[in-house]
Amino acid sequence: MIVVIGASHDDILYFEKVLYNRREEVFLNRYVAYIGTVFNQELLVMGDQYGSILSSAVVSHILNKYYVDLVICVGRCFGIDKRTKSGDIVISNNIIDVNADLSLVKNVGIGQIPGFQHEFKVQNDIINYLKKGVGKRSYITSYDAVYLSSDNLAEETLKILNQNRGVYGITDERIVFDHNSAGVALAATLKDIPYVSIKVVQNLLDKEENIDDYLKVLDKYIDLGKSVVSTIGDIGRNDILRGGIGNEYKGS
Amino acid sequence: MNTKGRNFLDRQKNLSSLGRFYLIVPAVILGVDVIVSIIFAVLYLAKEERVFLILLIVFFALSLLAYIAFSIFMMKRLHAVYYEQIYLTTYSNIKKLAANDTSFDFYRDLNIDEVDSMNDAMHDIKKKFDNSYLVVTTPDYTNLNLEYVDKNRNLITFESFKKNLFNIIHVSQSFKNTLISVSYMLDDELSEDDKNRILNLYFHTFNDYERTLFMFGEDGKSLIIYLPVIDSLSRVKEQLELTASDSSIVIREAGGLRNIAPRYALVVYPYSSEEYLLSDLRYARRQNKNMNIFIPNRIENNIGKNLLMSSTMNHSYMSKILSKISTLEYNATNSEESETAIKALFDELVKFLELDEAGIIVYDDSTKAYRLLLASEGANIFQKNKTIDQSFISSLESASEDDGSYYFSTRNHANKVLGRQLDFFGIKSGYYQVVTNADGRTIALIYFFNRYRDFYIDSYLRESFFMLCLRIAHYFEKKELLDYLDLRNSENEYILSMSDYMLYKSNDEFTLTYLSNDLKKFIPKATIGGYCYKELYGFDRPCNDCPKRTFKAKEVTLGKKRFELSLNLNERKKQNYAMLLKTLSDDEDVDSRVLFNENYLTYSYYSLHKVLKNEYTSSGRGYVLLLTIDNFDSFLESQKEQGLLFCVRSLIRNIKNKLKISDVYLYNPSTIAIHLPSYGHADVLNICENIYDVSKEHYLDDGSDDQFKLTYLPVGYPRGYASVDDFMRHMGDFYRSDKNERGKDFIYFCDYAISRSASKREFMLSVIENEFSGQSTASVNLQPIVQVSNKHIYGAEILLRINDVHRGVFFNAEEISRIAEKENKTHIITESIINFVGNLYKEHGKGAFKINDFERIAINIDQTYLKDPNLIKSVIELVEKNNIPDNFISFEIPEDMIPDNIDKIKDFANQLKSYHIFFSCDRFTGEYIGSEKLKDLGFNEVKIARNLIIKIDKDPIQLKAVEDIVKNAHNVGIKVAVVGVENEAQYNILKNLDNEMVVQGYYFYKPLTRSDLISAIVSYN
Repeated sequence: MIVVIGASHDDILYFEKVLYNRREEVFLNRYVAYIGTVFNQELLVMGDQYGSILSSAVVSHILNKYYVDLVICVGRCFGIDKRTKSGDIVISNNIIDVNADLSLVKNVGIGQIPGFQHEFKVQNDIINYLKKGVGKRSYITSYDAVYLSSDNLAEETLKILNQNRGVYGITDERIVFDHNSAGVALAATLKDIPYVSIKVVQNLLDKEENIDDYLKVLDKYIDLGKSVVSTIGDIGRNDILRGGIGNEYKGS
Repeated sequence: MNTKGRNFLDRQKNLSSLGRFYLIVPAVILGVDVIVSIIFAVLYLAKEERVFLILLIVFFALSLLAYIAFSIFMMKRLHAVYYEQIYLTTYSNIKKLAANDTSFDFYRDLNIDEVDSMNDAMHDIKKKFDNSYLVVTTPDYTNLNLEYVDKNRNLITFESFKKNLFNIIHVSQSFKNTLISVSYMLDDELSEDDKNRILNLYFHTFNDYERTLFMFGEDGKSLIIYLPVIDSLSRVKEQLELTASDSSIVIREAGGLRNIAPRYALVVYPYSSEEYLLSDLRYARRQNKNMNIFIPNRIENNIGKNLLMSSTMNHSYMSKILSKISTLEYNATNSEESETAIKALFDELVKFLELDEAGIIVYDDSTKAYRLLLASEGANIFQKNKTIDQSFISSLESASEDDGSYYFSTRNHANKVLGRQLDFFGIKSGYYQVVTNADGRTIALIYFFNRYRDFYIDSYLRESFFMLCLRIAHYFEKKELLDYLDLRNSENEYILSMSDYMLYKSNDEFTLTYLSNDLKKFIPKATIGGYCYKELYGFDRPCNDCPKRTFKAKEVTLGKKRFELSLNLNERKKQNYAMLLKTLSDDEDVDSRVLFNENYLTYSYYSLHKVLKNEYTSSGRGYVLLLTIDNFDSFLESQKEQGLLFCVRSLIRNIKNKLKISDVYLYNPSTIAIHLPSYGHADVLNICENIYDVSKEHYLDDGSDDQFKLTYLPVGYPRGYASVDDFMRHMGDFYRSDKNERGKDFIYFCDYAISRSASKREFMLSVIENEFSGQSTASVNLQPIVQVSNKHIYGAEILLRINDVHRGVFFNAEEISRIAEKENKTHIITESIINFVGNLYKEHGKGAFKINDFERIAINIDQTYLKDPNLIKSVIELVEKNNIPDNFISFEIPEDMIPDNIDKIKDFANQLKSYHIFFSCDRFTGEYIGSEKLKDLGFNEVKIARNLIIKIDKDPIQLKAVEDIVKNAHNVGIKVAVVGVENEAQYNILKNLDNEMVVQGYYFYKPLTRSDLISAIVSYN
């Protein structure tokens, strides 16, 4: 089974519609997931997973219940790097949880959760599959990006980033911001299951959010959906995925 | 009732004695009647004399009459007391109480104890309500006949909402109520699954509002949400924007799946009255944006007419509060006093409204930070003299509405950006007003916050808060301005110290009010408050030749130095004259005076010569406009030298600043020259019209009516003059020529034999009189109206085409009618048009028109024509005299003028009802009035505005808007016309939309002359 997680209902709308033999399942008494097949591959789709904490808990629950090959986090994100533009599709190569600062509790780096590595790296194979999928289905370029993920407000994240860029080891990579990738990555890492985030950039983080920008993103969701579904087809045909590559615990 | 009876009744003191009186009197009558009847009966039986029988009958009849008379009197009296007074007055008061109206009726003085005590009780109730406020925030729909679709009683039918709209609004009419449309641009209706999901989503979004009503629109593609009692519009907008990311739907198309996001339309009562709410919502939906909020400019009318708003029981208390600060004014000496008054007011308000605290945060220019200025007793949210974080102020700014105010009844109803800050400070509810200066920077924040409670106020209280805050805001704006002026003053001092000027100010009584620092040092004994002539010059009385009296500069001696004393012309105010002392020196820069005239503060004749020389070198062309001040001498006489200088300088300054013309020169002392490079003939006319307006401003503050009278002499260059000197000579000859009559504000072109008034109004008036007088109709064109089904010419619209011969363009017809109205000349135009129609029908009505099915002549009218009393008479005469068929004459009234002239239009339509005149609503967009209301007013047709049609073939949203209008018009039985059809694609779309509509546009015909129209009808029909 492949799991697709979105923050809002619109994020997973495309996947919900393309599911074959669709059925609904309620997790933890309140979160509705749609389960069906795409290209003979079983797919579980779930929206409304706002924030790292909720997504982490719900994904853990799903991973405990089903045998999952891959967790894909979809939706929209915000660019921090000035090179990112509204409408860009960005695929995570690294996910960093910027909620956390436990450096005074344990001897860990800023953003690192004790017992875990500093950043959640994503398998290159998956990135390549998704890139191919995006290029093949929507004829647009996708970009690798570092995902900073936090439940905090945008301006606070920017403040943290400006103070700690060196600590995070970010140099010249594209950087985007979202709310739930870190939670999904944490849950998947605990079960040693591969994960990736692929999202559409709505706007730069320091710009005011407005409905017009969102509607532009909505158009891109179809491209995103097509690309991910195409990748799911490819994965189903050829490969066995292995989670946790490069994620060895380096310890405090 | 006789006097005796009244006196008797007047003695009654209570209802029980009144009751006894009405019981005893009939009993007495009956008793007397029985006894006397028995006596007469016994006598008759005993003596058998007929006289006793007659007496018995007579007495019985009389007593019966007396009984009947008393009964009638008694019934009347009881009716007056119990029904007219006690019942009706009580019922009226109960109704008023239910409507929160405290203008209670009192019982008439009946000299009855119980009634007096009821009046006393009413006085007590009134007094109590006058000193309290009441807010009922939960609307109750139980008495309404709403048709619920679901068991939970959330979803109702749109039909029942429409039927009950007035009553629904009525139950919460003292609040802002919002109607929201969430619509999807779909071909088919929403699926049941999508409907359920969207309904659930918005139900959860707005679950913190009481009694929200949901309904699906008639088209099945939209969800309509009625939100009663909202706090702030910005909060509702934010909620919709946040929900947008969950409310898209996916449709399957030929090209694959497509996401469709909802489009929001939002209207608010009372900005839209209940009558217009739905039509305004339809209009908002047609706007080409994702979030369409439509707040029409009808608020004053609506609120003014809203009885509840003007008589609510919350009115009287807030009026009292507002009256307390009506005299609040800032000046440097009473700022503490004023701030104490504000604090006292806040204390009172906080107590009355059970608020936790109120206060004012201000921007401190010295520390460049915000701090608490004052707060009500016991306030502790903000600490005095501690800096308040900029991010808090910024979030308050960003959440506030357009007018700077913001209200949140509970923490849940605050915007997201604000909520976080409120949590930080522990604020639960409140109202605040952001006060900004001209640069948009927040200079003060007036707040009313609750820490632990919710805060419910109705729209009236909210408006009252707004007025209160506005008053205080003015105080702070003035404070900032005066602080700024103080700063400027010190800057001026600095500048004065660097120059050879000194300055003092004195008032009408020659009392010194200000001394510049240099002057204080120069004459240390001079003190403010003393007389200027004494303190500065050592005289005993004011000088006769003081510039304040003569408006002329004079030479004075201070100590051993000579000075030129003059009035500061820019601050020429009677209350406080600014007097400049300039050290007299013989060293003057002669060259600079040649190119620049210091008196008039503009370039001199020689500069003009130099500039024109440059123009000649670069082969430029253009105009020099000479403005002669024809009343120069009389100005000089009345205003003296300095007064005249002030006025001419002001005129030059206004020409430079307002008209953005920098090349202004002094041709001679009474003539200004304006260089207009690359200007054409029409541009010069425009400039002259603008200068005319500027010249008629009042430059004098002494109340005199002196205005400039100018003559405008534009001279074009190079026009064959080989050199600048030749041109200047030619210009001089033209200037001196006595052919041009002076003092009339006329323009005389040197190179054209034409002249006209520089006043646009005067000129247009003369045009109106020339064009429309007599039988002249040369200025009327006809725009054919075509039937979309067969392209036949169905009618024609009369277009006024008045040529501006000087510019070679047509005048704007609306501008003409406006001028005509002002000068009471509308009837000239009306008569001319009616005559035109009459002649046209006489000539072709029974011939070309009848044979070729030409059935309509449309005349455009606006409010100016409605005021013309002769119009109706002329139309009736026209119809009767020529036997014109029904609906042949059509009046087209623009939509935007209808709401303000509803009574006039109704009256106009009613008077012409029996003459079967066709009424069309021109330039219809639905912004101002809905189709239903148009139908009620007697309109037969809507003519869709050109701007909605222009992209109909390219933009599906525009097409949808037109479809909506057509559908609504058909629903109420109104015909549809369209203007501005310019290509075949547009024609085909419209034909498919409504095969019965009529259209106009360049795709068919451009405006035609009368003869061309007849040929077109004959050829094409």
